[in-house]
Amino acid sequence: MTRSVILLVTVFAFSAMLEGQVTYERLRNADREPGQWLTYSGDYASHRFSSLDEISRDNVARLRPAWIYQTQESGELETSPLVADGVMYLTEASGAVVALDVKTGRELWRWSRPLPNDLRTLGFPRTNRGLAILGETVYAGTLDAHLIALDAISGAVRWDRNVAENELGYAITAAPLAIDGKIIMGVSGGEAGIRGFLDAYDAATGERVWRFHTVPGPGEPGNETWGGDSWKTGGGATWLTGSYDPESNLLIWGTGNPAPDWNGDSRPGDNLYTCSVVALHADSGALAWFFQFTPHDVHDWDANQIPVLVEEVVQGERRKLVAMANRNAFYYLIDRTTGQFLRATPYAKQTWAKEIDETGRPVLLPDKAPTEEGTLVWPSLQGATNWFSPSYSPRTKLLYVAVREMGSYYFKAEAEYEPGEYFMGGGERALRDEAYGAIRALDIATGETRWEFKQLTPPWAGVLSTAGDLVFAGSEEGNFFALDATTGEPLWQFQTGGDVRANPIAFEIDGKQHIGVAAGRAIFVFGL
Amino acid sequence: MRTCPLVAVALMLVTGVATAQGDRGKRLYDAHCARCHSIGGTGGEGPALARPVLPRAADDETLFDVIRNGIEGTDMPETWQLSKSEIEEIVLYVRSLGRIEREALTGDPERGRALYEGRGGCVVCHIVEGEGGILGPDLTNIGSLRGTAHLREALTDPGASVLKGYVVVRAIQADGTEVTGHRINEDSFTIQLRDERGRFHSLSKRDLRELEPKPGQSLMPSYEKELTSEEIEDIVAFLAGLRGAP
Repeated sequence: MTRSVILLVTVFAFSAMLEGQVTYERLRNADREPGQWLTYSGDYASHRFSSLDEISRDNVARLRPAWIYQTQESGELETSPLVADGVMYLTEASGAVVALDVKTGRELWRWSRPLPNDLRTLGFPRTNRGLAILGETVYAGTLDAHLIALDAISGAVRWDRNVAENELGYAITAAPLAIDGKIIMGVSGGEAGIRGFLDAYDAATGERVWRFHTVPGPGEPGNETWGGDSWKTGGGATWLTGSYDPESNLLIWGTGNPAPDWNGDSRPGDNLYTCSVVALHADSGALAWFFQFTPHDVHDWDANQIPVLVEEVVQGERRKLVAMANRNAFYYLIDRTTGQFLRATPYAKQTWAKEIDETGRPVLLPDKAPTEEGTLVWPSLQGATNWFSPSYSPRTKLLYVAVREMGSYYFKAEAEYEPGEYFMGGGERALRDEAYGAIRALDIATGETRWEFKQLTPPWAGVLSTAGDLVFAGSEEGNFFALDATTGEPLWQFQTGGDVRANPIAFEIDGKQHIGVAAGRAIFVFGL
Repeated sequence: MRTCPLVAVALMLVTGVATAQGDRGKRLYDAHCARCHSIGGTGGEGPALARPVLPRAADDETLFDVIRNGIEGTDMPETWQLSKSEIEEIVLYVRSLGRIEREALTGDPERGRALYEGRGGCVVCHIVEGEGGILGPDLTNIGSLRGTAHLREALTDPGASVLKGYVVVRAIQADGTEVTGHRINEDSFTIQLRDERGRFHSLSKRDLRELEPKPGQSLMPSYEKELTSEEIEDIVAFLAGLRGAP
């Protein structure tokens, strides 16, 4: 090769690398690039807030579809797409990863591979909630519990790691989280009696760097909160993407319910660290602190909600906080440095706790545990909210939460562990006829509801707020809609023709603000 | 409502069989299935299960799959929260319901047909094998879907168990125009009604002065006073024999 050809090739390779580089610095400062959507919740603090304000209360009524992408795989979408440097990345329901031209919605590449015939997805539909991007690589988990690294330009596989055994009920539905040189990956499978964990992988090689077990083994602190051998099948799945505080280098992650779900007889004790938020040192996976929302849970109230990282004055002091609207119907504020409980406020109907005491422990009301005959309790099994994202607007200081108002009869049954089978010990019958949904705006510092927008049925869609003082949300009946962020007044709605069971995002196409959301089996992108 | 001795006998039979099969299946069924299929499987919002052949579940294995995975496109949900052995208990119990002797019908189906087509005026609103009006549900297969107790109740107290899609709603528009009809569909922003003349109305909730669902009401009149109890039994006998489509 002549010198000039070598130079040309080098220049070409270098520029291609630069084009596709989503560095850790960019992820850490994602709020400085509102034209992109670089990580699951928009930023490491999980605000799902966009500082774009071109679409506003004054013009949102004119919002209309720019393009629609229809998936090739069957199954309803729950994916939260990423947008980086002109490309939209998304996952389809069975786990195909797709890159689209963000201007047109035309496919650039697609990666998928057949799932095993005996695939186990115990307790949830075939779904995938999204991906991570770092450098020139996109990362996604699969239903058979692999973590895959794909070249962001071509979709070619860089590496493929088996995270856990799907035969035992482990699966991945969550989007991974990319931090500096590492990919953090949680697992599903709480209804199969897995032993939950959170993993960190080397982003370049795929080697596992650490594993944190959400259910401690013998000799580890917390193991004493499990009777007998119950820790071995204790659940505590990590099936939703957590948050990251770069300053303290702590990962803040929610954990799932203990197994078996509705029959706690075989697992006496608090069952740490289930139904908790854990703070882990990102370099080692060591536990810095934890807070348990629902000790010895028997209602399947996973704490797999988005931990929102904010700074606010609470109890007279400006503090770094974790805010979480928990599935158990209470809104919590926890000190992010120490894990200290600060306050809890109910944000939906609940009939199980008299109050949350000053240590953060619920004071239980009598006779609310599941029984053979059924015990009526609010909230339902699916909780007052669930995995779908809340949104925090620093402009209004409100946390917008999609709320499910529904009660259930909880039933208790026997539970015997069989590897790779359901391990639940009961069930529920929901009071669907009286149920309804709402988007509620909670005061970030107190949890008090400032306004609500009622929905016909309990939602499964997340919320996005923007600097245009708009809140975008979706309904089970297919409405995708915009509310006034300060009053909750509905300003625009679009019927997508499919259930909205995903989180909206905001980004730019050619410098113009757009809103994207999955509904049914399609991705909708809206612009003015 | 007056108690029918035949219903009481049927319920006793159901209870007897349940005990023979063990209480667990019945308890699970009552907790998870009875809301739609009724206690004893006589049918309600969901089809009657107290019959020897279930069209969607020819054998126990298929019935297990239907309970586990639900039926796509219908309101039959998946039951992932039930264990394998719990579903097996429900399968046994549901099968036992099918072995219960069918309630003897006292009415005359031919006289029932005459009333249905004539004085009862049922044909004005209901279709049987392609013939009839569209305001009420198609009854071609009603004898397979619903038990006799449900059919009797539908004639005497039609508001008691109103099917999805037949809930009566009254809407008053901004200009004062009133529409009453069946709620065909609804979301958080709009509602679609079909009035008693079969006309569709698409209404935006923001533009409505009032929107009032009327649970417990039906556009169908009660025949309790219009017909004698013998005549009602005749129509029940006629309807119970409608097993047109598989």
